Amino acid sequence: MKNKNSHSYIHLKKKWLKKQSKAQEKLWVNHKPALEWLHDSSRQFIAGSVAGLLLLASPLSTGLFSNSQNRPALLAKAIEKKDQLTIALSSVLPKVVSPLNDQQETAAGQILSQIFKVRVSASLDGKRLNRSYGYIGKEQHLMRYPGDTIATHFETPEEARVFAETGMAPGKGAWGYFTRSKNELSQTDILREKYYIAVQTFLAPSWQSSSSDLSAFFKYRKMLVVNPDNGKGVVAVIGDAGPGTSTGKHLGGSPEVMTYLEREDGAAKGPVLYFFIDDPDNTVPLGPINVK
Amino acid sequence: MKQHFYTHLIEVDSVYTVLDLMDLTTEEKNDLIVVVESTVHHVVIETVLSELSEDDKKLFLAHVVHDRHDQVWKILNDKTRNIDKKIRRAIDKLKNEFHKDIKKVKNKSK
Repeated sequence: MKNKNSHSYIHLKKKWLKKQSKAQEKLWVNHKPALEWLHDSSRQFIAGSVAGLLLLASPLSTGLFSNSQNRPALLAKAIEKKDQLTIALSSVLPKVVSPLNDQQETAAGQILSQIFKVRVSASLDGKRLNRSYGYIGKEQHLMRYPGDTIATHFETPEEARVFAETGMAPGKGAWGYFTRSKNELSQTDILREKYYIAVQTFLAPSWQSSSSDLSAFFKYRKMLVVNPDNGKGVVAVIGDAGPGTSTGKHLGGSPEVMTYLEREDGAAKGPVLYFFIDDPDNTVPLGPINVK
Repeated sequence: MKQHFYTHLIEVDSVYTVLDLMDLTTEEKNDLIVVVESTVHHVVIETVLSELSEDDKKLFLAHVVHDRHDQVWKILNDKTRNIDKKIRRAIDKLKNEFHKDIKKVKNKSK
């Protein structure tokens, strides 16, 4: 009895391995360039043997894809840089939006630095925020000077048409007005308000003991904010504190930041990465930044 | 069993049920299941890749690697038509072959 069943097993195994082999061959014959690309790319993913995960218990994982090198991600040339960015980030970011661990934060910072060609990091001069990856919500416009209103806020009718509906926050930002009067309003002030984010400064490590030092550090600090789902990035400044912890959001973006990143508020909210830009000579301009 | 982006579309449990009814050891049965699942995986991936452009193939594979099922389906929904039906059809055909093989083996061993 047992012999008969062992025979069944041997027979089925032989037959099915042949079937498996044919399926494998067909896959490789028809799609070799893409599969080779995956193999080559996997060598460069931080996550290590990612390609091996693809075909798990399949014969394709028989050594061909095994790879455990820990190199920063820099992907194959065949696809768009922006796609490279989203793919590279997807190899690093957690599936559920949550604070990044040290390894993830370092890897994400390296990827962003490489792709956008600016030096970014989650920690600068020993200072950092409570997190570097979180849900972004939409903020209102901020008054740049006393008396700034929606009617005076925009440089062009087109800007007003697109962005006026968000309205003006009733109070000043965490650091007051951007300038003292309309006459003193500079292009820098305009851009700082246009591309500002609100971050949870009050949750930063050591905030309780060094709030004034940290506040001075955070004020108008440049950050690279990136939507990991579409690879869009914007250079913004920290222009306000918030949002509150009860909102379920971790930072806020000006209407212009949100529009450019294609992020929405409410139920459709999504995550962004936000890293400090190391720009001691103030050479990185504010606003949308393209992958390089 | 690992959840794949196509797990909800296919059904191969009937093959396992028939294997259960055979007098196979647990090791033998598990061994055969591994081959079945691997073959299913190859066939599904081949079916999908055949519907995509070279660039989309790469994006798709990269998302599959990371189990980003939402993004996998975004590509499939945007770039293919009736892919769910095509996957089901391919796997149904494969499943029938498995069943035929089992039947043959059973008949031989009678």
